[in-house]
Amino acid sequence: MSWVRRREIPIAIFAICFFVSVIGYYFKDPIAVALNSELSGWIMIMTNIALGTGFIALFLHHSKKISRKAKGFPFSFVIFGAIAVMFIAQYSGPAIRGWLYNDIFSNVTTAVICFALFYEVSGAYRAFRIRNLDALLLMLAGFILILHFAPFYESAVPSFAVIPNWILEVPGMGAGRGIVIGVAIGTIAIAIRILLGYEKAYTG
Amino acid sequence: MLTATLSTAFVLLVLSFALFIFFIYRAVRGTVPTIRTIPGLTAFNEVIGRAVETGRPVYFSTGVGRLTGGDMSMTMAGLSLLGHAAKLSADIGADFNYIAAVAAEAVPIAEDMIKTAYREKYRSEQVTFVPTQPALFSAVSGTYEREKPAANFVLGALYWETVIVCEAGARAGAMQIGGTGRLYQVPFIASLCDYSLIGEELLAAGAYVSGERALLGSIMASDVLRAIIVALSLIIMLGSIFGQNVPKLLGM
Repeated sequence: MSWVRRREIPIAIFAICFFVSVIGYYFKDPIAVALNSELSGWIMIMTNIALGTGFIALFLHHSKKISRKAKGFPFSFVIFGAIAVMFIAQYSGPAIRGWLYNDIFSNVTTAVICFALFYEVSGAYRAFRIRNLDALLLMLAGFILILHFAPFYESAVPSFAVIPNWILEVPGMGAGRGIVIGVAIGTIAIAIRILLGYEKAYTG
Repeated sequence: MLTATLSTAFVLLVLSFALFIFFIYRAVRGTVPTIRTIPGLTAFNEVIGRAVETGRPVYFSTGVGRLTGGDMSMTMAGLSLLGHAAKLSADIGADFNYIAAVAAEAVPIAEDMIKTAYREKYRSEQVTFVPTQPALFSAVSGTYEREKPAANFVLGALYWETVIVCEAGARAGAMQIGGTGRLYQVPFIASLCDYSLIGEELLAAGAYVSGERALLGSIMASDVLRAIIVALSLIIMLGSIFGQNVPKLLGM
């Protein structure tokens, strides 16, 4: 096996970063804190290098797609066009860049996000169909909380506000904390499995 | 010098490390714990099998969570399950597709897993990368409407795209398996998916499906650690009933 494909290397990198972060956080040791800050700088550098390699990979992928006339290849021209336009706009001054980004891209993005409302409504309909006892409880809790967040409900019947507040602060909070504690323990488990070399998902 | 306010947390961290290492080596030596059946994981075969029977594709998404910070563990668990689902799909000839969003670093890992599963049958079109959440929304709603997937896996650190991906899958008539540890997305997963993996179930899933002794041992250690945390919570609660500030006594 080539030395660059050895599993020990990513485990060693993870272990060094892990212990530097832990020592820096718990002991506030000046050397560990400085190393931690240095590591954060490396993250920025590696992210930018990855951006460059990502651009090359994107260019090669879409060039191949066009040359082979693969399915959906005309969209590859759109990508090259968009890259060229944004590249030119970047060096053409803030007005054109701002116009392209704030007046076109942001608005199109917001318009797309607005469609999520329709998905949420049909999702709510699907969720609130009473098929069993669990679904009935979900529907009741959902119905009470919808009334709680509607302005009319609080003003018309102020004394009932205690019910949704109780749902949010007692069973909701308890279940939520249970999930958060479970996730925290699971995160520690994954970190230890990586350190011991048993977790392999991050190396592909 | 150990920071005074973090001393209890550090002791708990060291204790948890010791517990995990003990239970992992105990399992490696042969004492393997019995893990309860998790319906969401045993359903993988059924869901992918249905896709082959109907001749429709399988779609997998790990959400927009990255491989850094608090999302790391959930995204990694999602990738572990991606490897498992890809292998099952390749074994029975299902059309498996992965939609990666925002987290570009997950793409080469996922590609490698799918290539390993499919070998010479791998096609680059099996992995799609979309750079933003709104783009994911457009990609998923359009693709699912056209392709009508039979199976939709949504497993990882999920944000507001959960409702879009799951609802698009439900509209397409897909059987869905969802899972996340992100609190505010759990209701969407529970209400829109046929099977759900909530909180630590997702993080334990990779270990569960691999069947590796060491990984099963780590699940046992998680349970013991949880029991210690519950016991600690009860002591703090009883202390507060009797007027004692236990966290202060413990230096928390």
